[in-house]
Amino acid sequence: MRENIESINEWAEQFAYHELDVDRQATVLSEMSIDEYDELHKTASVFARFLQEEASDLEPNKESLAVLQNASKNKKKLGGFFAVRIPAYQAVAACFLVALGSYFLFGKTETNTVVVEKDVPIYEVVRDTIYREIPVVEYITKTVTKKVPSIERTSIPISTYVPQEDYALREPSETPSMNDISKSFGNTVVSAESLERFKVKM
Amino acid sequence: MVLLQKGTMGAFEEIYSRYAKRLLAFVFRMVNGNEALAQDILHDVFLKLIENPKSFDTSRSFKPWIYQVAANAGKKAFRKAETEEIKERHSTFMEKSHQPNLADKKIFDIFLSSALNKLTAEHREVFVLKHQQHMSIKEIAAIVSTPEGTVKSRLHTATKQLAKSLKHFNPKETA
Repeated sequence: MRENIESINEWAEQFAYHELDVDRQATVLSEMSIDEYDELHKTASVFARFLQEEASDLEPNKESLAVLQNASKNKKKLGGFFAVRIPAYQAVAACFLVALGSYFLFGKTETNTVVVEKDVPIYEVVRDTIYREIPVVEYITKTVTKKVPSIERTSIPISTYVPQEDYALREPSETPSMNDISKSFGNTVVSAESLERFKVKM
Repeated sequence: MVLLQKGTMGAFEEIYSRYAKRLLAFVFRMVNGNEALAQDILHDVFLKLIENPKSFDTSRSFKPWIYQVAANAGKKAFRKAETEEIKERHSTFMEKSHQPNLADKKIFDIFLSSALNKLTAEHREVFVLKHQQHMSIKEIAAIVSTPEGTVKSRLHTATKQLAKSLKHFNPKETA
């Protein structure tokens, strides 16, 4: 049944009912009335005519064509070398060869490579609690008693005067009296006045 | 198309001269008679062809492919912008259709256009490819990527719907 309908539809696009042969007319009548078929035929032909007229009235935009032609030309200009597509392995091989060539051309300058070994201290921050013992200083006051030895007093012989030959003619000088000699601890001092008189007489 | 892929001069112009007008008419109907939109879509289709000619598989037939590209672009654009202009045209027709002078050819054409616009995109597509582009069922099936039986079925449904619209209009008096 579906095949019949599809066939009828195809016939309706081209032929009116009376233009069909007897077999086709029979097929049409088995599915629909003559009016229904003619309606399909009329519809197809009316719309086909309309669509044809509509299509003939339309013209592509000339400005659009000009733009497209320019785009096409530009594409060809920009194309050429860059438009050529090569497999990926060829591109990789080309890069490798360029790198290799560069190495032999420019990469042969000998350079002394000095390896400097340097110990880099690594400081590890370890956070911990440290207890530090501070010694306690105790001050002890001690009294030391020391015996100082007593100083012996020496007597100076001042009363003995032995006149020398050269001084025989001279008047014997007056020796300072004991009063003139002041004595202190460990020292014997003659007063300046007595000493002067003594010097003059000599 | 192979020449276009190779960059041969004049290949694009040849393709354009062969297909531009026909594609424009097809796309025009696919976007419900919006000429500006149809021109834009046609431009985009050919621009895509220039920019990426390798997108076409040369082992396949070019004609179904280019129509498929145009149909898809048309459907996409139409879904995106069912313009106010079309709605306006439709409403204008509805007002005029109630006027007594129905024999006016222009009005009848508007009616036919409106009837076509009422079809779904899938039904309109096969109907236009069949009756405007004169393609075989096999070619249409290749373009819309459906079995031939589906194409025939859609064609029959479209014709019946249009016949119904035409019956209301009473074309016996006008056509």
